[in-house]
Amino acid sequence: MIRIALLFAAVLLSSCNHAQKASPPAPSTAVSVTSAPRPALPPVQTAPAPQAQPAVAQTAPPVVAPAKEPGKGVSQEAKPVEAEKVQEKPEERKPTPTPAPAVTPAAKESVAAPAPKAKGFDLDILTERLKQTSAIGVFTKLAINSDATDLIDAVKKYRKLAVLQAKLAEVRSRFDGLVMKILALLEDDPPLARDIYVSREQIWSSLLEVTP
Amino acid sequence: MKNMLLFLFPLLVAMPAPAVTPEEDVATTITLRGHQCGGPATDIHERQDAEGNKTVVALCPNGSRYRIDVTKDGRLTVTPIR
Repeated sequence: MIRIALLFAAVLLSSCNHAQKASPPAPSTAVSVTSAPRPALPPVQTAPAPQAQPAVAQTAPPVVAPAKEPGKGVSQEAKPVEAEKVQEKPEERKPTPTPAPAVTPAAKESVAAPAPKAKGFDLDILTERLKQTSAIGVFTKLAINSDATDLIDAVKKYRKLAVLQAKLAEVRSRFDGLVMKILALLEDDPPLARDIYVSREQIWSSLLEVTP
Repeated sequence: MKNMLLFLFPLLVAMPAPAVTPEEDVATTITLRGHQCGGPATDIHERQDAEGNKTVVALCPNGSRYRIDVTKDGRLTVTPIR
């Protein structure tokens, strides 16, 4: 009888551990108040605001640090099929920073402005975590993948035509919309949502570095 | 009995958190493409042709039926079925 009681106590303790895991885990590294935005609340920036970039550069390193452990806090049970399908996500090919070809001076400014990257930022890891997360389903991942592909096409078009700065603002607002979508979908994976939100400026700048 | 409980205990502890159900996944996809669904989709039928293109037909709680086409290169479109 005592053993059964002990067993129940152990089960209760384990369920408490599960509840702790389910709640948004606080990273072991120190995170300032400004660097812990809630995914649902972040303000959308319609244009690359120069004021916002230093804040990101300051906040990004401590928060992105846990992203180096892709398996931690993320379910590994994602199906291999979905991983293969989402693997085609074009964001993966972006991180190689290549010198920009002929672009207007205005565009050069916009590309150069968000250039300072945070130390811990790694687009590959974020992409991999997005693929592996069980917070969103296969079809949703494919939908996001399609959106990302469209966005990259738009950026390429912008780069090719070297159109006005206003056009870039449009593309930026589309990017912000896509980030907001992903953040809203990742409510079951708050650490990944937070890391994506904190790295959004770096993602945007790496998007602009895509070779047309 | 005791041995069985001891065997089941680690399994209970190791049980992962529930992931997104296919019904929720399909409904989220429909919503992401700007269509209304009103909850988890039902009556989901999935087909795949020889070229690798996938077609999913699903019924939403609001009565709308949608077709989700996924091309082999990962492009996804949602079309309402009238």
